Amino acid sequence: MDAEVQQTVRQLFSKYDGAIQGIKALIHEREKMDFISVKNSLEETFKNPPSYS
Amino acid sequence: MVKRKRALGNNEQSSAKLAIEYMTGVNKETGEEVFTESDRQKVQEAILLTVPNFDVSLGTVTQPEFVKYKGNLVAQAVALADLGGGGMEGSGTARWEADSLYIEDNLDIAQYFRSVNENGERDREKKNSINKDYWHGLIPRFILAKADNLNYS
Repeated sequence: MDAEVQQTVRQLFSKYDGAIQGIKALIHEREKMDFISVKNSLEETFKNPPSYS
Repeated sequence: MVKRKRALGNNEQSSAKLAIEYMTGVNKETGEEVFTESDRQKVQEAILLTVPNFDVSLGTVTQPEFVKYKGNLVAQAVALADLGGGGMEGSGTARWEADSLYIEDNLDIAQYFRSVNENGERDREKKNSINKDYWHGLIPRFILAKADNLNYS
């Protein structure tokens, strides 16, 4: 990828680090869950939809 | 689980057609040019730009038409929002997008959840499939693969 484009994408996606850590933590968390807990966790997600900034 | 089969491009073509029909209809009903030809073109391009490509070599999803609409900032903003929510908004949005795609791809998940509520954990094979599917889910893989491609990880 062109360095200038990569720089622009990095600025635009400045929250990628947080997203990656969040997804890794979620995968790790749900790997250990039983089915009912996965179901509850999925439901919990949709109780709190994202508020876009 | 019943998996969604994605026909790439069909959804977007249909959505663009519906949007154009709606805008044309409003113009006819009001007798005024509420939506100009330029408006209609922007909306159509914005939707068509979101046609995804599942790139095996990158291990993630891309929008191959992105460059084609270089002059349409509205279209590019919609396209970025379509795939880049996690990157621009952080982990809460990434989680919401991951779970949304998981529900979208497993068409009978709601039915199965209800049956579990009613009958307890009677179907171990499906239960295992759901757990396995989740953490091999598409969006987590896409997000992590994108990070790799941007040297983020």
